[in-house]
Amino acid sequence: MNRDLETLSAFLDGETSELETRRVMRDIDDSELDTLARWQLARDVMHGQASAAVPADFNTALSAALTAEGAPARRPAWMSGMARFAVAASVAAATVVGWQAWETGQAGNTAAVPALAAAQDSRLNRPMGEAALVSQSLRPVATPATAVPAAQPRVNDMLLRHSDFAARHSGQGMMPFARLVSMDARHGAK
Amino acid sequence: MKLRVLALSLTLVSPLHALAEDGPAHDQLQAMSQANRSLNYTGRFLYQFGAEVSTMEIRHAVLDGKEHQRLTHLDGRLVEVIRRGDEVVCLHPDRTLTRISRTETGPLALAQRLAEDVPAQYNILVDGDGRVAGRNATRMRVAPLDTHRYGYRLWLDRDSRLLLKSEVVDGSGVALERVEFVSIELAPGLTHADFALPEVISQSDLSSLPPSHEMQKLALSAEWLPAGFETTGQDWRHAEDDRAPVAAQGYSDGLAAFTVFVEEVKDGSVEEGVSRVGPTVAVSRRLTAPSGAYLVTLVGEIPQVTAERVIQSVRVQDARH
Repeated sequence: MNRDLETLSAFLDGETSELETRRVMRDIDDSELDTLARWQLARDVMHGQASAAVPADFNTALSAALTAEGAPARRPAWMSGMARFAVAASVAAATVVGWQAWETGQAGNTAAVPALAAAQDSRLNRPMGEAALVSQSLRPVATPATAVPAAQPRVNDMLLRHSDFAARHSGQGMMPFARLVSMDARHGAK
Repeated sequence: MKLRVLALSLTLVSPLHALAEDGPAHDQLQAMSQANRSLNYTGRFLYQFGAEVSTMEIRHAVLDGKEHQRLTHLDGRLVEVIRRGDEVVCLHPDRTLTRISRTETGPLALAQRLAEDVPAQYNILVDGDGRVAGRNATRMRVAPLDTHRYGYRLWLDRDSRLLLKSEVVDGSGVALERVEFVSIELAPGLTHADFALPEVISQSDLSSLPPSHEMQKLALSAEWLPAGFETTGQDWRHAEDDRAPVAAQGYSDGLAAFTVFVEEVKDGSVEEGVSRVGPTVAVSRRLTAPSGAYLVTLVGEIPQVTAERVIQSVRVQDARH
């Protein structure tokens, strides 16, 4: 029982391992829950936080949710090559030299933080997609950073040429040129 | 055996069948495409991609049988794209100018494909009524039938059929890009002077390579393409005199488009990467052919996963070996 209280205390302080956390939530009984609620209350009062009692069935709901989460879905075998590429793209953090032409000032700040996953999550939650966030290298960059100015216009040329192709051959009307105008203006503003 | 023949004939017949059943939605899109190309108008619109918004002005007129168009960025730096017939020019913020294309590259087929037939990979629906720029509009939806392309939401002017608002939406319905007119004026009396080139400090061309250049022998092929995408155009150009030529191959499904670029690189001087702005994605990857290393870059308005899959399947054949 003492050992359980120690675990409970650690659990409350967020010091248990993931395995212990799951075990505590699975095995916790009503008296322990009361204890936990009292400690929580005491701690909240000590820290001057407004407290709200945890609903008695909170842990049941939480463990049910954790169980339901289950093992991550497996990708089909044919996707493995692709998946590896995608993972590699999101793990490496270095900003690609020469790709700055694509970034807005705001995105430049974001790119400095290797938090692609977080960026993608927030993109899903926003009414509009992120402007420019993914700008990453698959492998260590061999070129020194001083090569940046020389490399920049290359991407612009590609954009110019792509816009021309797209305007000629896609059904998007003036959109490719509007894109081009907007990106060029933004690039120049940096 | 007979069954198999029957099945084959059914698959052959079904696309024709679908064409024959083109409903009012298709008619609306064709009318829009026609209106956007043939009417004279000026207007101001919001252009939004991701969280960024800019305001632009458009002038469009048919003068001497040629389509003229001028897009002007109104806030921030001044950038313009001026189109006079087949000539397309981009004016940069530093007052330099790039001639993107010239007459010899062929006629502009702006939205013509959409006018002729709507790609089979999309479903077109009339959504209802709306109001944009103080005008009554018909709302339409162009929904992709797979995940390899984006969808569109369109608002068409009920009187003139001009496109007043359009959104590019991803699979979850999030708008990645938006064009929305705030004001539009029909038949404003535009003249050649409205499409004149301003004075610039320097000009550059995305010039074509002579046919004898060895980069011309480079063949580019994609072993996998999303359904409906076909090669559209190809060219080899020097961006600037001091830089290596870059080959380009365009692909389109009739609505969406992407372009694959190939350039020869020295070892260790380039890097692979992924970049995204609104609906536009750019992915690059190194390729090794018998004669050397190449950097292959895809730029286009398709989902990133699709772009990565395409670029994984790109092969470069080198005629020198």
